Amino acid sequence: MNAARAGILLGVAAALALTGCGQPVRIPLPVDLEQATDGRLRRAVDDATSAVRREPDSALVWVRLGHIYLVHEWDVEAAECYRRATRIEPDEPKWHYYLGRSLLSIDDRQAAEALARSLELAEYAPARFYLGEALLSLGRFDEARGQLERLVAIDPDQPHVRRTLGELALGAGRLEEARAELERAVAVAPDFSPAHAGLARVLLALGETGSAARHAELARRPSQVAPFADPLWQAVEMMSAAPEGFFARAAFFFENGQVERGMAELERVVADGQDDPEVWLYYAGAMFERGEFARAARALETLLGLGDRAARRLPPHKLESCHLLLGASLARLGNAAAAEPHLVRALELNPESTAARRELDVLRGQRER
Amino acid sequence: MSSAGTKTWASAAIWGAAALLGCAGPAPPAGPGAAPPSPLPEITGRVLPPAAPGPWPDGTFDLREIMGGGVGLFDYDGDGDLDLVDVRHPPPGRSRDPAPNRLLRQEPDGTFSDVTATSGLGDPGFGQGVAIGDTDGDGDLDVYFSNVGPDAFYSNNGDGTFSEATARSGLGDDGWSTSAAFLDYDRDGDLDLFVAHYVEYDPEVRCEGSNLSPEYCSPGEYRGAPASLYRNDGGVFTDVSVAAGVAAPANGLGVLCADLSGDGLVDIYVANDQQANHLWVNRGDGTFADEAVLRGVAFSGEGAAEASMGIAIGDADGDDRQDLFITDLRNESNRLYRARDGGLFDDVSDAAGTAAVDRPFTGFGCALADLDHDTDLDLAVVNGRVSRGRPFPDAAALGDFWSLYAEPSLLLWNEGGARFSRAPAAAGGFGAVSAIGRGLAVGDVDGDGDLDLAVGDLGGPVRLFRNEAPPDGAHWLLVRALTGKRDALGALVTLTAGGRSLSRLVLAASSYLSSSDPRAHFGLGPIERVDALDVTWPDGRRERFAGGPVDRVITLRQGTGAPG
Repeated sequence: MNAARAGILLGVAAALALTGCGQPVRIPLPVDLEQATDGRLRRAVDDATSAVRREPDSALVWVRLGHIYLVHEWDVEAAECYRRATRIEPDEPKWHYYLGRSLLSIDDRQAAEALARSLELAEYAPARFYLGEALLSLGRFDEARGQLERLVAIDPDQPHVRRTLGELALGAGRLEEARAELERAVAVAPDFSPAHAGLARVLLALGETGSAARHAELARRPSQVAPFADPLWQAVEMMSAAPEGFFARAAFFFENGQVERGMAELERVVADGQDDPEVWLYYAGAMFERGEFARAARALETLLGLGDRAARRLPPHKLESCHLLLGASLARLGNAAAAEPHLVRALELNPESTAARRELDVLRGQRER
Repeated sequence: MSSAGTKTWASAAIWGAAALLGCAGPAPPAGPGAAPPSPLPEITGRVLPPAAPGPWPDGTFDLREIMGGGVGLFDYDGDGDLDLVDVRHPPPGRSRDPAPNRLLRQEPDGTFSDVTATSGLGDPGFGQGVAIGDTDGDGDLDVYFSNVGPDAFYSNNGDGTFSEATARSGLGDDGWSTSAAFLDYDRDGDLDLFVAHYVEYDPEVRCEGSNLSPEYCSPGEYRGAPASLYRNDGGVFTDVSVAAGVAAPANGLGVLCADLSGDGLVDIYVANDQQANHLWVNRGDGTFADEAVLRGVAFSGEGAAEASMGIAIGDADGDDRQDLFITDLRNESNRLYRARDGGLFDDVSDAAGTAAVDRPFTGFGCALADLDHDTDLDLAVVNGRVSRGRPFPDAAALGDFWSLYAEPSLLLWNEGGARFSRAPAAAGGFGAVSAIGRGLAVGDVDGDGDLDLAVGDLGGPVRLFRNEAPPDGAHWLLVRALTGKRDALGALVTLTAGGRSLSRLVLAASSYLSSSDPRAHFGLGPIERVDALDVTWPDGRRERFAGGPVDRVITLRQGTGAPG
């Protein structure tokens, strides 16, 4: 028996051990936890399950274990944990919300019930948005529309809601209404590719083929619109042992003024021979945003030094971002000669990049002066 | 018009006995409270020869080892019944081992014999899929195997044997080929070939899964690979991919060729994994333009590029337009795109009730087929994961490693108007046992007029399911549409009877890596007589044929009907 298997069996045995109250605590354990070789993830699960064993009547410890499971895509186990939390504290809307989110990939009907219960207890825009999505999946279009229209009343410029309303109208054959919703979505979020895709279909159905083709082209570009803003979800992302977790924790610390702790999280993610080019790019972006141009430049030079294979793993628009960020960082460090080739390369990769063009113009303008 | 009888009594007796007994053990006891029998009982063990024994080795997280599993149903020897080709790939960790495909000939009693050796069709390549068509118009069916590495083309000699003819035919793609399809895109009367490619594979790329341990990579970790289009000029093929405009790099998996834009020309639809799908609309001048975004079949209804795998086509809602069904990764619902006027499509997966059912599964092979002969098209989907998940209890037999990738297949009944409900899985039937499903082909294997299913699993041998869904008294019609001596792939057959019409395509290549019986199948319910059959041939001509009695196989030959 190898050490990992022994560890799992011990974990299972411990999970089923009697509590001080004499009641067995059944802690859901993912079947492929044994194959999880990442030490940080194993420790996180061990710590969280230990906490549950110590305090089986604490909703919070169940939720923390649920977060670890959910962010690592153990959705079924996560839902079991959140369900336990809702039984312990049935009037806490957050626990119903997390339960609903975890169930979205498993059972739309149960997800809708949990999200509706959450909204009975407290208004929370993401809960209403995902309730709308669940109802839509269930084919309950009128109810979905009702939920989304309540969100529009609060925030008329929410692009995700406008897009979904547009798709609902398109599905019902209300083309002008669909057009209005989708045009509003792309007006407030010009890089929202899914809205462009929907608008292209609407315009084609209306016979406006030229405009339709234009939006179809825009739809092919990677969407630059962030997911529906969801502060509660940050708590889930922070439990990730993957690079996303480091970034989420760093963002949390920065938001709360704990700059050093945030920087420490960012440094940890690129330690130990990190060879994922996307992680280096994300790290560099975070450093650039914080004005740490030297660190950003070093990170991007590391990325480009990973070799052809690593660079090939970056899609063209991210390779463009890499050169743009490196050029901009070097320019801010006063190294115009080194910056220019990267900005030129960014423009070669995307001749329509206004950011690269602007950086290059500034750089050349400074040189002329 | 000619007709052919149904299968012999001996065959029917074998198939009936197999269905009664089931392949996995005796049927559950009948009586009050007993579970109803499966409408699609598995008969693999009764009619197919055993495959090579031994457990499939644990995976090595090499992406090439989890994508294969094509299967083909075709009458290779012209004896009137369907035979089976099982596309094989080498075990994990042994990618250079030969993995000969198997050809299984159906005998008069309905059992199958392994004739691989005598037929010469045992291509040893790293098999993925199969395309079948009569490329030289001599009346027998030739076979193209898409492989990881060099593809292979086998010309049917017409005597039960095949000759390997890859190089002399101008074929021989050596990338990672996936689904392939024969089509006559240039309307010159012979069959051209389209081959999708998956990625430019790099064995040194290794990936982690959501639990941060080794897992199969997603295609996004590699460069996409452009598809190939070969024009057939008198039996010699020329690669015209670039000139035709279809050579865009992509992660192509499923392929389907039919007129989707409504202009009468055969178009090419490609399901791309984690990218926008392609709809190559035939411009009629030898070139194609991708109009997938414009026509609503590039993305999900939410506007997301999903991990599309297999493709099925059929008139799901009975409006005489051909709808599309695409299988996707778990957490991404399969997509039902309803056709509208003008070659536009809407994602109606939510309203159809399929999205809520299939979201937890990773779908591959799929078929829209009237399995219960009630005149509307039902859905069969085979599933199997590409990353670990919670195992289904019945998957334990696959071992610790592969059980985490297995899922049950899905059968969804069309309740009318393209509203689907999941059929409960019954013991011993389709969907009852979890597996790592990939290929799915449909055809009337036992000659009783309904469509049976052949499933290709990862690692395992092909499985066969006999259709027993149609109730007594539900009628049917099978239409073979020929242009010259070959099946008129891409033709549309519209049946009228009692004031209503049903439209079905003549199509072999669809689903995932698979080739089905191309005959147009009509479930007719209580309809006992057909008024007329209208055919839109791939070259755009239309003809009307007289109807007649039902429950038979008929052959319509281009040029023998009344101009439509």
